[in-house]
Amino acid sequence: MRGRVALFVPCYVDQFYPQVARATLELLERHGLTVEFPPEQTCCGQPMANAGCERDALETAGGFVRAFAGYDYVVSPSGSCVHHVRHHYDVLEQTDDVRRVRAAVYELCQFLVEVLRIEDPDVVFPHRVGVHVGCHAQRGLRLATSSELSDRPGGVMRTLLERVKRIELIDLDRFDECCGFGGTFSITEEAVSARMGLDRVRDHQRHGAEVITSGDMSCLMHLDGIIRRQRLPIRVMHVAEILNGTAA
Amino acid sequence: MNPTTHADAAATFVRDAERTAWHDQALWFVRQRRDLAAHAVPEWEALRDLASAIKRHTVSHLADYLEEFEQRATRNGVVVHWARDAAEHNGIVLGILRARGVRRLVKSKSMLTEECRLNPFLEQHGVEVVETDLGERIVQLADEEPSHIVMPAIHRKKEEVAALFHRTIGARDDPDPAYLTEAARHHLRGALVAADAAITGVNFAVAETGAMVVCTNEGNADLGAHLAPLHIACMGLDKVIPRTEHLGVFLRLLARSATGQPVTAYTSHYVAPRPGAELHVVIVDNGRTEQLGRPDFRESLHCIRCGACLNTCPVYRRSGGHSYGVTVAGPIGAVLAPGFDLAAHALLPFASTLCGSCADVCPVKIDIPRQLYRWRQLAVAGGHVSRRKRLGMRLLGATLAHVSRYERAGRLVRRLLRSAPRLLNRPRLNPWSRGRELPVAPAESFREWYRRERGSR
Amino acid sequence: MSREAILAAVRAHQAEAAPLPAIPAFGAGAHTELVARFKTVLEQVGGAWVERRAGSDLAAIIRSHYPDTARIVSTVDEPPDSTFVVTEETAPGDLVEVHLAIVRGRLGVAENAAVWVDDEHLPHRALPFVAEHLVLLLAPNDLMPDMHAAYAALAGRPFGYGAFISGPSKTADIEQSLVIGAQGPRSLLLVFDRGDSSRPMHGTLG
Repeated sequence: MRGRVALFVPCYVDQFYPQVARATLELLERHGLTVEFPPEQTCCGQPMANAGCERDALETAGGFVRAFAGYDYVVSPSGSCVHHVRHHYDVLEQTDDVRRVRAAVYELCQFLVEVLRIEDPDVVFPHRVGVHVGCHAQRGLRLATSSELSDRPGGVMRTLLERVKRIELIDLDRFDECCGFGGTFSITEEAVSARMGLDRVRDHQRHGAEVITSGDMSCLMHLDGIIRRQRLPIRVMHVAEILNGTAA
Repeated sequence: MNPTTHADAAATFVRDAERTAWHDQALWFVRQRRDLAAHAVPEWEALRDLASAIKRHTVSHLADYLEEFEQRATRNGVVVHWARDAAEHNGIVLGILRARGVRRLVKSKSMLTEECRLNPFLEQHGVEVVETDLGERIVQLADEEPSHIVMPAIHRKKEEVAALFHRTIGARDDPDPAYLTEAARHHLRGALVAADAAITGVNFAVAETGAMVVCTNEGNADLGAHLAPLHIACMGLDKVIPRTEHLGVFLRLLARSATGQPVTAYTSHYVAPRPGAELHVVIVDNGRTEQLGRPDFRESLHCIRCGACLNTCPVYRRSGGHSYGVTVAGPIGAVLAPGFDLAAHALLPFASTLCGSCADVCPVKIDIPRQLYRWRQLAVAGGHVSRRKRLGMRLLGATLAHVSRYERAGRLVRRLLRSAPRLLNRPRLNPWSRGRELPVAPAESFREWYRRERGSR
Repeated sequence: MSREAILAAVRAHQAEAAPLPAIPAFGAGAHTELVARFKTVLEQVGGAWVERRAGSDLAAIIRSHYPDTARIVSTVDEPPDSTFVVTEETAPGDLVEVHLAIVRGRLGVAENAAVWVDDEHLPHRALPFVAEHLVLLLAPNDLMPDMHAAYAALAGRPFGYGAFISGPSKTADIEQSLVIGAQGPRSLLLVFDRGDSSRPMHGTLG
């Protein structure tokens, strides 16, 4: 692999989950990359755009393009943000920079598997783990087969996790049910959102998961909020943390 | 704006945790049956692609196919009527009924007539209407709307149906579904035998032959249409397909997507009236040509009303069909309804996490999430969302657009979360915290750490 | 007039012409597989089947499956004879008295156990729906693999009314509990009619 690699850290990860961003950075470095963190980056603009306020997101999206225009790969520990850049930046004028940035963004696991061709993550994680693929990674970016199309879970994140030593991936009753976060949906449709999250956590619990992992910290922020409110004996970890060798 | 929003109705629905679980599981069960049926057909994805392309073609030649259908149907002895809107449709139906002195009408399931509010209109004009589909009859007796386009009474428990039948049709109060179905059979046979006219919907209208195809399981549509001297079929103009061979594609997809059946028990082809009887069809626009004129939403006219997107939708399963406040609920409903009246249904496109499952089960591959996303933009642009949300998003956009503002705001929020978590954890101020804890804020953001540790690089 | 207004609006709003795709031939499978598949699916949709040996008596099959049947309407040219007359003029109140209807299916579809019946051989269109029980005769040679083949075989066949019937009537409208025998027939018996299997599908029926 050749080219300049940038790390895009979603706004809420930057502010609330710095350990996830650090794990992502260290993980990429562990695999021999030189990774830059362009300091002008803030957000991809999805929070406003998904709420119907695409116009309020234009300046932010423009800033995203400026921050990452010079890179060959823009890697992010979020399928949802990457999906937004790839699929919803039509609203911007399609300049060369916009086109390049849209093509350069990668969700972390996809980058590891398809660009770096990592076959052995070379880490140990001796726990029972439930896999939650965010819907935008799953169906938006097609980074995992959806249950509508196939009866078996799969995808880039699972491929990596299956090769983690001593990990036990549990089966779920509904392997790709949405967690109910949905951006501002989690506020405007708070009741259904929370119920969906609780159902999702319970599915993992029922099958003995100690840890729920995902490529999207936004899903996990929502699930973690429910877990802590209900004081359930289960915890969340971003897949970057597991792949970087963070202990549970 | 709706007097009751989806969010409010859904919050009420979810409050009954046990019932929510029951409703969710009932629909998930149907979704699982759909998966088994779909995964058993090796060419399933090829069929979806075909169906999508056939619909795209049809909708791009819709006027020609409608005329061809009209011509063939007329030649077959069918009387063809055209209605611009619900009122004209209802007027045409009443006119046909009145001219023949019809007093007692039986109906099989037709979402179009629900959309047109035909039943209350006819009853106001002295026509007795009996819905003969079991689910439709249940909601009619309960004085409710269907909550699902394929399973109208999916929101009702068997004990509730038993109590309803006991009260309304003199059945004993026994929740056994087999008994209740039998009780309905006896009750409805009487209405079917006595009917002066029958109304059915139409699943597919074939331009090439003029045939109208109706897919059912109970046998009620055929009993109604074949026993009464007058049959009126009511269809949206989006129901026409070019040729008989296309039925093969759509019928292989429809029932498997809807209920997981390989095909419905009855796939009836009405071509000509039977000797001595009359067959009419009313072709209805009611906002469909407007939707056809919206390139972003045109694809919604491909819908074959299988209901698979409702069954799979995690929000529909946990909020119930009535929470949408429209005839066609669920994801496809949230795309269709704003086309009829954006101001009234502006919040429906927000009743979704955009998880995309609806697009993946859709037998004609309608990209529902993309259309929901587009409607959200139009709802905001049209001023149909709250001022508070509008200002909040403008502020958020202005903050995230500049790294210095973003950093200051981030530090402030983290400081608040750390020093006064209770302040932010008040549900009235912050709905998030009604069912969830807020994140535990770190002292240092990633970029602060990065500057400190890696700043010299 | 609304007709003109609607058609004009449709024309004004139609998208740029999109092509009509050709339907490819999907895999068919051997004929013996078709019969086995049809039987399996028929059972899944609540129907039953019986194979009639050459020269055997249809009346005996009917007697053994429906021992107490009095009011039979048969549309096939062999015993058991009809014990009840149905014509185009039969009133609804009399039609619903039919206990058993015997009708020949023109073709069957292996993928979904659907059998095509049309008004060419029905004394009244309501017959297959009003009867408490329905017996369908079908020649195994008239089995098609899927709906594509079925419609291809029906091409050019004139009918005023026709239906694919797959199993007995059913409903799951109450709590998704499947109940066989909703408003139409409570049972469906498919008689594989080998004695008639040489009859060609095309030409003689239209």
